[in-house]
Amino acid sequence: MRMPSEGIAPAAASSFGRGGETAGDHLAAMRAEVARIECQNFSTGLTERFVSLGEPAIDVALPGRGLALGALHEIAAADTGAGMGFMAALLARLDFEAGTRGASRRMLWAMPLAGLYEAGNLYTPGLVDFGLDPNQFLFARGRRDIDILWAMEEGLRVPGFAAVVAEVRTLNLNQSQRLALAARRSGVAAFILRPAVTAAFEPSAALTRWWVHSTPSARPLRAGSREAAWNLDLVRVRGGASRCWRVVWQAGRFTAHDRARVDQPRIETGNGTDHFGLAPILGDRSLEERSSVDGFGQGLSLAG
Amino acid sequence: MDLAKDSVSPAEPFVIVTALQGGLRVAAADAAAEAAGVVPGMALADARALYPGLRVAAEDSLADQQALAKLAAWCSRYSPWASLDRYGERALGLFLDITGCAHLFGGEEALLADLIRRLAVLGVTARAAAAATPGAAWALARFASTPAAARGTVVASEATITVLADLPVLALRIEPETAASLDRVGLKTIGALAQVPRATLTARYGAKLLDRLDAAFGLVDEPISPLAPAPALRASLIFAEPVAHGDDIERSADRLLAILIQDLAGTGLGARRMTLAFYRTDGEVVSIAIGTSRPTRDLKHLRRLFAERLDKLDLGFGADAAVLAATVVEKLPPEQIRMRAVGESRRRPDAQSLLTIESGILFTASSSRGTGDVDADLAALADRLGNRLGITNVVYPMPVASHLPERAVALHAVLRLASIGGETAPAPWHRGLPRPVCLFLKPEPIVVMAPTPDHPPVLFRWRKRVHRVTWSEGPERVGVEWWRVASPGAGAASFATRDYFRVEDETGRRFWLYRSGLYRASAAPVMVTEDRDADPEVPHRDHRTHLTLLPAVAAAASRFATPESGPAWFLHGLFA
Repeated sequence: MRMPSEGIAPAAASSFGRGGETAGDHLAAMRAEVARIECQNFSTGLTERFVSLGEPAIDVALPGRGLALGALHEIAAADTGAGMGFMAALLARLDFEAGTRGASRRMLWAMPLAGLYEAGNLYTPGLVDFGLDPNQFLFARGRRDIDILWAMEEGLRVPGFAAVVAEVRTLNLNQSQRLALAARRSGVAAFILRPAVTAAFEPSAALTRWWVHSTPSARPLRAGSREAAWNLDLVRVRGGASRCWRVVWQAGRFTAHDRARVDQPRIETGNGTDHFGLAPILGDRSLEERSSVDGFGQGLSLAG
Repeated sequence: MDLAKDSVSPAEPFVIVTALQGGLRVAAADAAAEAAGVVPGMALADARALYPGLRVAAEDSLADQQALAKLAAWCSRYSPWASLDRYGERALGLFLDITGCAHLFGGEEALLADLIRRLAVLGVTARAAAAATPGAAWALARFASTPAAARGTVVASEATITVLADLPVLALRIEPETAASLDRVGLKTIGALAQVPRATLTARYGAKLLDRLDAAFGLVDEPISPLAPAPALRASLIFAEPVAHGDDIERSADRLLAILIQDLAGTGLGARRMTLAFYRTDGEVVSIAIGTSRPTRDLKHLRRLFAERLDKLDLGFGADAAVLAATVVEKLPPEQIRMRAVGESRRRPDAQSLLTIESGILFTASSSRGTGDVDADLAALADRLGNRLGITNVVYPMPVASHLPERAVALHAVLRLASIGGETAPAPWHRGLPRPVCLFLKPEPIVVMAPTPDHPPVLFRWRKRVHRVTWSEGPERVGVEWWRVASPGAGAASFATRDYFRVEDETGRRFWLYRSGLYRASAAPVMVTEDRDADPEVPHRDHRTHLTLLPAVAAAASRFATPESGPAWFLHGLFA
């Protein structure tokens, strides 16, 4: 990002000119200054907003004490159900926040054509269980990832969505930068939902990257309960440290318990087929070959 | 119009032959061949006797039809009502309804002259006639003297009867046998035929002959049905020089849009579907069709929809005409329109201006922007998405009153309905037992081990992996929709009662399974349907001792429905 050099000097002088400040204040002032300069390129006039996930433990791990609107977030799902479920849960938080703010609650979900991959398709009545109103959803279905990402970018250009989701298999750095910029300009939260196996080690301009996989729910589970539990890894967050939790979604909010990283099971590429329908190309390889794609983020543990 | 393609040097006589009446006969002859005495219908041997150096080609009626259809599309530059002449088994010409179109080209004579000249450039020798009825035009194009027809004959409607009177009866589009029979009794011309009492003619030759006579004279109406439905509104441009460049194309599209939008505004209509067609100099027609989710005459929006695809248009060596047609229109009353200057912010919502293009200030009309401000933006977005992804791929969900999970939601294309605003109160969404967040398009067959009669599986295999069930809920019985007719090939299985179970495996993945149908009373207490050899780690010893095991049966789901093996199991969805 190009910084206007002539604008820095007086601003810096003003923040350092005052005496009697602690180092922490200095740091905060500098951060604010950097943020201000960075935002100069996007004259949106929007103040950055954050949505609480309803669980302080997660919120504090995120910059701004919540999930940033006007940013790109990447969710890598170890299995389709967990990915779609976590996505729906995040949307429910955004929906709730938009509702209290009186803003539009419409969502755009860009997805592959039904039946294009072996994975299942989003089932709208299931969204109701997360407290979402399916009538607020608009779906755009594309044949190729670039069509889906294009739909997302178009959606981000329109004021009037509470969130825009794109369900893709691959996302390169260039595309993620474009989308991050579009999200920032619009002030709308953008989510990339993708299979974990294709997300490994790729650089991305997303503000946060999450990894979600299923975990057994707490017992006893009530009959008809809408509760869902996931192992959630905040793999990457700009300006923060990565964290791991076991989260439970219940009654419209998350509750989290810290989880040691060693608990993280290896991504099961054993059959591969149910990870968003990824073709089982990884299925019959040797362990050595597999480890190169399995190692998502840190804490790779190979189960023999 | 009678059309014959002169792709070869016109000096050499050339005929097209077809197998007819037990031999090769001349189907069509060019001018040189006709000068040598060769006429259609003549046996090829006779024609060769007249002119030994005759060049011959076999008839390809399919290609003829396709070429004619192409030519009909090309002719829509003159009038939207262009159709093939369906007389006889082969299409031999084109009909154009030029009512109300001729003045755009400087009159009927000028239109015909332009048509013949442009066809000649394309290498088509045409005979054309304009008359008050299709029958008269047909007769004149074929039976008028050759120089007149090649120039384009125009007959005023009051002169129709006198002009037709001198033409042979064959000009009435009747069977050659009928014509020959009339000829034998001395009725050689249409005029002579018209003198005969009608009752006599009907008794001798049937009603068809009189129908043709009346149609030619305009006593009965003979409609021309166009190849494509005629658009509600259209605007056309004819270029002095062929255009092929991006800027010119864009400018012409803009001009057409401006004209059409004015027409739409004048009639209180908004466009839902539009087609922009360019007529290439080589006779091809290339077009772009766009759709919108609500009636619009917003210039900026429509331009954007077209602009995305204009650059992909292949104009070859250039196009000499462009037609923009609003093929589907809906009411968009003028009182809902507010003018807003393009490039200005919405701070000036009520600028009272007319839609003016020439003055350099461009105004756009957009639908009422009160509460619908966001909706209008979304509708515009849906249009853009739909025009790239496909109209059926921008959808919104609507609940359907059905217990079958795959039928409980219907996806409606945004561009198919009036708007995405959802004016009608939708049916309530399912609020009963939990539903999965992810559903498979086709339920996937699984191999299960489950106690009878109504118990959830203990173990199941899906996509080559064994899942051990640690928690389950159910069954939720979903009955048969017996009132619906089974889709062909679906078989009895689609009509079986389903028992749905929500299960969780040891890794915490939550599935939605169902058993299709019920166990029969005679079934064994436990059904084990799995392929034991391929899967040695399945712990058979875990089963409680009072259960007996059935021998392994094939994993193929198709065999599950057999009475011996019990009902089939499927995995239908994934929970969060």
